Amino acid sequence: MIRNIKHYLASEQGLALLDIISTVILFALFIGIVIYVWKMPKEKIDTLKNIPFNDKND
Amino acid sequence: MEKEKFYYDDKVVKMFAWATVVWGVTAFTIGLMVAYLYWFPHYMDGISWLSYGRLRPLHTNSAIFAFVGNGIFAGAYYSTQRLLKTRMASDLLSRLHFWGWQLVILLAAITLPLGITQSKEYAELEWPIDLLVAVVWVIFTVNLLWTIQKRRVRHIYVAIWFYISTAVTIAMLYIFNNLSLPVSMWKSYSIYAGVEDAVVQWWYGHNAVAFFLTTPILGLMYYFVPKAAQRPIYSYRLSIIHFWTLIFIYIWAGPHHLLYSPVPEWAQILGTIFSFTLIFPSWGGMINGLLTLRGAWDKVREDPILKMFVVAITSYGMSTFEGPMLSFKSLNAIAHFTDWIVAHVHVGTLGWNGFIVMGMLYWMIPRLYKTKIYSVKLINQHFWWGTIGLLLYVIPLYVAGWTQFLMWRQFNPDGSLKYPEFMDTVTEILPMHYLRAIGGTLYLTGALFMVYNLWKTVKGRKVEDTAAEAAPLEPVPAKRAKGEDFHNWLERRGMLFTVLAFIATAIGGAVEIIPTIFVDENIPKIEAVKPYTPLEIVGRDIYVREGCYVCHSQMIRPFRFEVERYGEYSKAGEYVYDHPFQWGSKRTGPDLFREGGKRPNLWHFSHIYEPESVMDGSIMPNYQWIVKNDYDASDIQTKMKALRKLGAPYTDEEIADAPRKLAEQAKAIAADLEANGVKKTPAYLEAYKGQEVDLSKKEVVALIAYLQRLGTDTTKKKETAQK
Repeated sequence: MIRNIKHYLASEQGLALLDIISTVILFALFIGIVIYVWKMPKEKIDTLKNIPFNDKND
Repeated sequence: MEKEKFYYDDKVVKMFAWATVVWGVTAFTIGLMVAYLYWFPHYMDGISWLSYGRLRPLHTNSAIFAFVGNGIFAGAYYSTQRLLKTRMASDLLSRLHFWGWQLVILLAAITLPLGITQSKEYAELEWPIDLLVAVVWVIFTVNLLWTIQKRRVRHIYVAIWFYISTAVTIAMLYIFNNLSLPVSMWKSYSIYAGVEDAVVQWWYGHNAVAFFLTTPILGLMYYFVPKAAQRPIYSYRLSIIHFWTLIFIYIWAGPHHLLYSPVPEWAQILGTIFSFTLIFPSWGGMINGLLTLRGAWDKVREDPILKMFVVAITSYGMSTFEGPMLSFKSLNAIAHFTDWIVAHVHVGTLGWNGFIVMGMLYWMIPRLYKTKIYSVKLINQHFWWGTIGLLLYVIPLYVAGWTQFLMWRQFNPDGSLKYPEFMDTVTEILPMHYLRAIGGTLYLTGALFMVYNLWKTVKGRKVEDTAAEAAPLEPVPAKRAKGEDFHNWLERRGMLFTVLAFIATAIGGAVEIIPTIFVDENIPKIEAVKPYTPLEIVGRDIYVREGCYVCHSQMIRPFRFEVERYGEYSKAGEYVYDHPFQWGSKRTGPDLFREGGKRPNLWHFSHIYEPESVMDGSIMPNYQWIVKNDYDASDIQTKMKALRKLGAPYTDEEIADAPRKLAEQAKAIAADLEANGVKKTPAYLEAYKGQEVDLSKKEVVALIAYLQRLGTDTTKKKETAQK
């Protein structure tokens, strides 16, 4: 199987496919994260962003 | 739950902070010594360990690993303890980390000037020091992850995510890029050759910028900017997008350093796509940093620390806009190998890294010593000297970069190069180099104000560990609670977070590097290309030792103006015996890939001794010791055996016969030099003071052998065919 993958990757179509798959993964990840954080609850976010100020020594 | 009392380990923070100050001034000073060599090329003549090729790697290593590195650790130790409400997990590991890191720096400061180098940019340190770096890095990582495990705060704040990604990714990058086969205590050959070595090196080189000079500095930004501005980060949501997309994308971008090279086209395309998209998370981070100051700009007017942070974040924005633009082939064609890249790099290091780290020191050191800063006025002075110095440094180099490119590609109407002498393009931009040296001087002067100011601040005071209290964490199920948000859940699962961060960074590296190395078709073999002869190996090792790659590239791009100037463009198969590759990244001098056979041996002899004697106006320093010293070929057979293990097809007979072959080739070159009147040259007369010497034993002969071989394997074949 590995030999087949290696053989396919060595071909022009294989390498072009690698570029396309990588780009699709990238955009899917990016869009997925944007949608996800948009839906996060605001109250929780406000607590988390204030963590550095829980230290009274500074 | 009842609160527990504990103490933050501020002593280790203090140690790293002062190491940052000391190494910062050292790194800037070495940088200036290098910059002034463009103005006064001979002010350190005759001192091999202060030559350009050896000092420049010392400058980059000290700036990156000594100055910024210690700054990162100081800030990370300070903020991690406070964000997690716990002392660092192990005082012993903290101290081992500190002293181990200083030992690495000290060894680098000794070995690099001695010419002990792997000659891979930002990865010059030889294998014993690499091993030490790996051990120290593991100590740091274990201490960090252990501290995260024993924290008293449920959620891990964004700054620490960036520290985690730094810890795991740098370990991966450093180990894979530095895999080499030792031939002696201070000499090794990279296990990768040519194109493979280039891909792995720039995967590392680009991500040293990403995961050593960016992600940890972003961690510092996410902690110290809100603290200094006394307001929370603008958007926590944006920081989540920033973190995950940045670490995922950054690792793929390395091949943009290799556009128009023999690296496979698909890898170059991937590099370009991911470099371009990098602008989104990078600018997301920059906007997040700057908008944290929303509503606090009146403070920025009065607080020089905030001013420094603003310049730092703006510099980050500028260099992360420039980076993606430079990954487009059309713009890369202009900027690559020119001073533009040097300007780009210094916007990042002097502007982004320098000002964040120094702003952080001004904020943190008075708090460590429980006092106030000695002089706010002096911080203001530092800010202005540093900012003006930065501008005076980079603007002339942008102009120099454009000038170089325009002159290199200029043709006459008859199709010949308008500036066939590379030297013309060097002398044209010298005024820009003078200005950048002045800019660097201003920047260093600002840093000296800081040293004085901090010294006066802490004089007569001691750092005592700061007392704190917090309730221990109540145990909760590791599983996600009903209705618990995924990322909130992830933020309380330190180890899982670390594993996911590692996977996010490992994917890109695997996709780019594994096919390059294991798919043979990526590097078509060329029958005519043969391994180096024993004398050429010795010569190549001298070339590596002297750091020639910092000024001379060995990679001809497929442009008419490059082919016209240097010869046939480079092919992947021509580098298969190059351990390590020597493509370089900047041309202060001309490309040498097809230097072989272009000039007589005698020219090289005189040029190495005193470049100006054969090249009017040359700013290359004299490399007289190469002419004076005998080469050491006692380990040539060990070297050939090592290279054979790495793929060079030397037979047992060739290895056994190596000393004789080496002497034979050396004698032939020495005889040629003598036949052409070397004994009457000023170089010979001055170097040997009238004494009879055996030229065939001199390093210069080995270096000439290597230079005369460069790029000739394929061109010789062509010439034969033409005949």
